[in-house]
Amino acid sequence: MYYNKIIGKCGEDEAVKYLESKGYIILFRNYITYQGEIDIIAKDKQEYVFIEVKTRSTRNFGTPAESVKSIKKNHIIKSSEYYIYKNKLENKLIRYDVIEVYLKGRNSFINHIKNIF
Amino acid sequence: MNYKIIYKEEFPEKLKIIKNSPEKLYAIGNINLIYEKSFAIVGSRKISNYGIENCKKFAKELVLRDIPIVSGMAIGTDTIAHQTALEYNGKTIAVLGSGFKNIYPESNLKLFNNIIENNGLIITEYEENVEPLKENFPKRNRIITALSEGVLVVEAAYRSGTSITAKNANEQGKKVFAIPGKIDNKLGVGVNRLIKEGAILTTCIDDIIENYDDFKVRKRKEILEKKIFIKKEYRSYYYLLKEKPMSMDEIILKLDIELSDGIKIITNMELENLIYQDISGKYRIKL
Amino acid sequence: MLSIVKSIVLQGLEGILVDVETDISPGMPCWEIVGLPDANIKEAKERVRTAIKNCGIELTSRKYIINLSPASIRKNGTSFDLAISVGILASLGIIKNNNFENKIFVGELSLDGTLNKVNGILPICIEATKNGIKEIVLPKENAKEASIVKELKIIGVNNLKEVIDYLNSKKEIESEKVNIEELLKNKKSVNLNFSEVKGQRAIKRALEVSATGSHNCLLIGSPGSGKTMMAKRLPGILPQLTFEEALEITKIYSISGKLDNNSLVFERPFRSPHHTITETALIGGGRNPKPGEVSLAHLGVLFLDELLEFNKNTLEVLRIPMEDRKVNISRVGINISYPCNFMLVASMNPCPCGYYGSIDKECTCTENQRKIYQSKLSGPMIDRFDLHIKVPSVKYIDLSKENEETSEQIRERVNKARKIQQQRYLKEGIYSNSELTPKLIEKYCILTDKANKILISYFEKMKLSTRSYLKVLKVSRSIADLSEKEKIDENDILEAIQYRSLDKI
Repeated sequence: MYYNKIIGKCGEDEAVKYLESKGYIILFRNYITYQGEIDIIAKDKQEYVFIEVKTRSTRNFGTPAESVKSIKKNHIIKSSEYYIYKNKLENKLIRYDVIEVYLKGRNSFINHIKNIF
Repeated sequence: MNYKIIYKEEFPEKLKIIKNSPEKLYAIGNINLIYEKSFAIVGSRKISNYGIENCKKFAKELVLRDIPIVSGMAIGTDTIAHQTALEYNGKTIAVLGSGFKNIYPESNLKLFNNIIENNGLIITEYEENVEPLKENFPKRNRIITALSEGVLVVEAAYRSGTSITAKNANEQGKKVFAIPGKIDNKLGVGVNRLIKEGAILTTCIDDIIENYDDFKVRKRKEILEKKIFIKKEYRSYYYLLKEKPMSMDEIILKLDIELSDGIKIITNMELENLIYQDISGKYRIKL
Repeated sequence: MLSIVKSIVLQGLEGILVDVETDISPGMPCWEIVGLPDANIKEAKERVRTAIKNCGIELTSRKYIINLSPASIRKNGTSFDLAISVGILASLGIIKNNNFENKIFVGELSLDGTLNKVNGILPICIEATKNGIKEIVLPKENAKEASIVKELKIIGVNNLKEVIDYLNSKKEIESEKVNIEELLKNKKSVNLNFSEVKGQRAIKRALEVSATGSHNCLLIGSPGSGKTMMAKRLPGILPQLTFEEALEITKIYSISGKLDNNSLVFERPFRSPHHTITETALIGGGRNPKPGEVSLAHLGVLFLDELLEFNKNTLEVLRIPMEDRKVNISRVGINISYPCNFMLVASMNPCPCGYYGSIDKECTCTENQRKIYQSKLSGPMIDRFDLHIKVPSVKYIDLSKENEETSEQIRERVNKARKIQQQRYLKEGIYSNSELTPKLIEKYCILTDKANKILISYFEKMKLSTRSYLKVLKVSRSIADLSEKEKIDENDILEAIQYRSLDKI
């Protein structure tokens, strides 16, 4: 568990570095609600993007993005609803993304899947 | 119902001497018939067209020689035998397998009455309320053969009551005649077996007659044709159909006429009750 | 941006113009289709999204709301896929041309963007012209069928990309055309021909009489007597279809998805349902009501082979459609009616084994079995038929060596007699002798004295019902028409009586 947490934090950091390099503004990290947690909330030009980060070291199996679909979809939407409500974003452009981070040694490989829903 | 009882003392010899002779007989109609020399015709309840033709043929020939016909008034062969006898103004005796209050089958009620009205005889050893139980029928066959000089089997399936009738006839010393049947036909199996076992192969009336001195000397009556006046335009049609029932197509072909004329005449003849169309579509003479 | 694209939803053979309104706005991303869509249309969401994506167009995360107006009418089918995608693409600005006033879009989408054919194109096109539509964009496979409607520009397309290019004026597509007169002209010869039936002249004549007045007839005969063979050839001697009649039949076959060759129906239908058929399949119905066998036999022949094997209840449901000449089906909110003006022909055996009176085989039934079998034919059932014809089996050798008459020759006579009927009944609202009511019979079936005498004596002798009496008159009217006589004479009556064989039993 502890090992995974480290991997996870590592991955999120990599993701943030990547997003900032693409001109995204990071609004929030680890936004926690009763419904669940959103890893990153960012803004891409006019769009508000809710991002789930999945990190894997090459030792593990399965592509990270697959695990997002089944359980987390509803959690992500429900959690984002609260943020949208609180910040009055009902009429703004909204998007949901997944960022897969593959760690190998000191290098990382990013796969950014936009608009998963 | 006015029936008479014939007691054993009054039985003709031929009935007294058989094994298991009945105690008494209930009778309606012309009682004197039991003393005459008669002949029996039996066969299966399901009868084919071939069987019907033959039954009619033989019954007619016997009756034209004034020989009364004995049978069981069952559906099929028996009924045809009785009806043909009446048709040619002959005499017939029906031996039932039930009491008079339970005529079986019900559809033969009309025949029952016809036989009585035309000087025939109905007898049974069963008291009036007795039902037509299955076991009664083989038993009554012994009376049929007892009253007859011989018995003709028209058609019979493999396991049939007629084999019992044949056995009775043998025991009573009566000759058994059988019309050969088609070897692959259900109704031919029984008769063919009887022939193999000794029944006399019969193809014409002489095969029967020549065995009986008494019958040999009888002269055959000439049949008086029913005097029906047939209109000129109908004659060719009438005699054509008398020979063989035919469909409309066959009629116009044989008589070389137009379909419209055929329809006109045939329908008129139907309306005048001279002919009718059977369920297969062929036109037949109404008898 | 709001876009409005038109399509059509079918209710029976009629349709209603539908506005597919699409609105794309920011907010919580979602996809909603409203306006009482059925399950098929709700699924369109997935098909449309995937098809658009596979055209190389990215669908951004937005709120997609699609309304099918009028919203209070149920929409069904998969034909809305195209209209919905065009609406979305127009709202996104990918389709630049927003002028969809006189166009409708119909078609089902595959995931790769291919347009698949849909049922009911012909009624859709006819409805479109009624609503002032000038052009229809539809799947290429459906173009041939649609081209029957001359008033419409028919744009047949293969896939979504083509539609986009066409609407953006990047691609030209010719309207599909067809020459109707050419098509109708080529259909003079009859496929299944009476010349193939040897002999049976009496039966052929009886069928000719039935065809003349469109009388329902019952054929009784053994297997092999040729009843089914001759029944199949009946549509071939009925008068040829007019264009309007062909259109009516084509509409019905179109919505049933039974259109052979995607083209106009030329021949009168011959439907022969199996005796295990259900009520729904026979007269129509189901959740999205589809036409039944009776409507598929519209203006043709419905043949019930082995009449006595049919469930009595199933046959009972035929009664009202036969009287009304249409089937009324009600569902929540809508009433649909499908026409069913057919000639009823049925066959039965003379006995349970079928071979009574047959040349080839001996009948194996007892007298009792035969009686029970014949009693299965109830009074009400016999009453459906104007003619009862006994079909004898014939030995081939018995038959004359003459050449047999062709269906075309027989049809010519039937045609003439039908024209006489049409002329006669112009103001009465009926088209054939079989439709005569007692009042009209009195008016148009005048007998000669001789004929009258014969009819009365027949009626009294057989103790017939009034029903039978009226049927004899109707049939004799057709027989007289065949010989182009005004008054019905004794020959006509005699022949009509000949075809009432079950009255005489």
